[in-house]
Amino acid sequence: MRSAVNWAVLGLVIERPSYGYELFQRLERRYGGVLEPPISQIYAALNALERAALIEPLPVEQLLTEPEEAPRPSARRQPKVHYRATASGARAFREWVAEQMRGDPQHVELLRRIAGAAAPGIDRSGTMRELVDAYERACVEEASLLPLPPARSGSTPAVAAGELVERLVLAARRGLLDAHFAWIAYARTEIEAFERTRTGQLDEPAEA
Amino acid sequence: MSLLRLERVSKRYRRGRRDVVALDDVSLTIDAGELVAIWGVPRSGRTTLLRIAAGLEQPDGGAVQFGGRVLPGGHDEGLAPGVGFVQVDLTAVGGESILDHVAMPLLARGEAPELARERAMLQLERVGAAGCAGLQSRELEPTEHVRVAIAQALVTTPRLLLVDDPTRHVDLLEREAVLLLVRSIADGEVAVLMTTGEAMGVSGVDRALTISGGVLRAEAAADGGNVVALRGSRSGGGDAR
Repeated sequence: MRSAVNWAVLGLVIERPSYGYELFQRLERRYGGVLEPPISQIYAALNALERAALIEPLPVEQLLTEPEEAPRPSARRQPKVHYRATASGARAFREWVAEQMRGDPQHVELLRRIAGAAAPGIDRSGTMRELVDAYERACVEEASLLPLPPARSGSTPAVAAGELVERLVLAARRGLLDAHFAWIAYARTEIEAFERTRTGQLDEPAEA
Repeated sequence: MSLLRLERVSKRYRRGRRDVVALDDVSLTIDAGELVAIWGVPRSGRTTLLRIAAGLEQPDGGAVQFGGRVLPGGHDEGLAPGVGFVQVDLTAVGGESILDHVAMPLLARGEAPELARERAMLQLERVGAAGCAGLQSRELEPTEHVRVAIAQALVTTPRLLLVDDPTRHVDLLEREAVLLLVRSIADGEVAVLMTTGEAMGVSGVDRALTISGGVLRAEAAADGGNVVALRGSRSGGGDAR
């Protein structure tokens, strides 16, 4: 399953059982600016997750016993289908999060491209600096789009636990960005030192 | 019209026999009510940028305009009117109460002590540090130092607040509260330009930029993540908004 929306929906369902439109609203609140799928994609995600047995419909009788999820007495319509995560859904989500934190294709790709830039006839340190600049732009964009963590409201134990998870996930993403920023500062220093040592020696004039 | 405009500003220092470039051809504008964060490591030029924007230092080249007027800068003229500057120093401040410390900018310009203290108390309440009013500086926690410094900068009702790395000395779990406070100050009346050394510092701002080696490098705007290069690696002149 490659769709980030599917994984985001699964994460929200794990936090608490929910139905299509509510998930749409929660996803907008949580990931607005980063993920903004139309509601049809939420329903498609629910179908895909159910087919993969990562979520299942919540039995109606259980729905009515859960005060947070119970429909209002005035609502006489058919109750909406609420979904909850299955055990394999929760496990798959944990594995996916771990994978996302380990994998950093942008960073790896950058290093590969820098190594590849060491071909004759091109300005190697200049190319490296351009790549570092481009990487920094990507990082600052990602950092600015990250929301600040939710306040510790802790209105119910379930909400408090959900907030805790969200805070930890955000902290992990920020931590990676801090590492990338530190790497960018280090890379610039190294490249400048490289250029200084080569000034006047080769055909790569350093900037003043 | 933009509130603050730095145009091709440069600044060099002497460090012993060395010549250090603090800012190199920096252009930047801040609009009223805008919240802008600049990410940079210490000695990247970030503090010099704020001090020049505050009118505390004179640039060697380029010009600074605040509210459409050119800032003279330097020569012990102090902060430009309408500008607040927050630089947290955990060791500073004498033995007076925090309330008097916050009121000091008003007392210094001759306002009646009672009125000055009243206005200082309002700002301490605004930043969530009312409980510190009767304390002395040495009794404060790092996060309270930051709140008190912000209250003191706000007491003169500035239109631009410059905040130098507000979370630098703050405990990990307190940092987001400090950042939320800084974000709450930026509104239609007050613009905020802050520096930061961590990713959290640029989360959720209107615009984020980076600085290194005295050069503004990259910018990301909140409206759709419009990321632009401020200065190409080999090009000579930069021109930020």
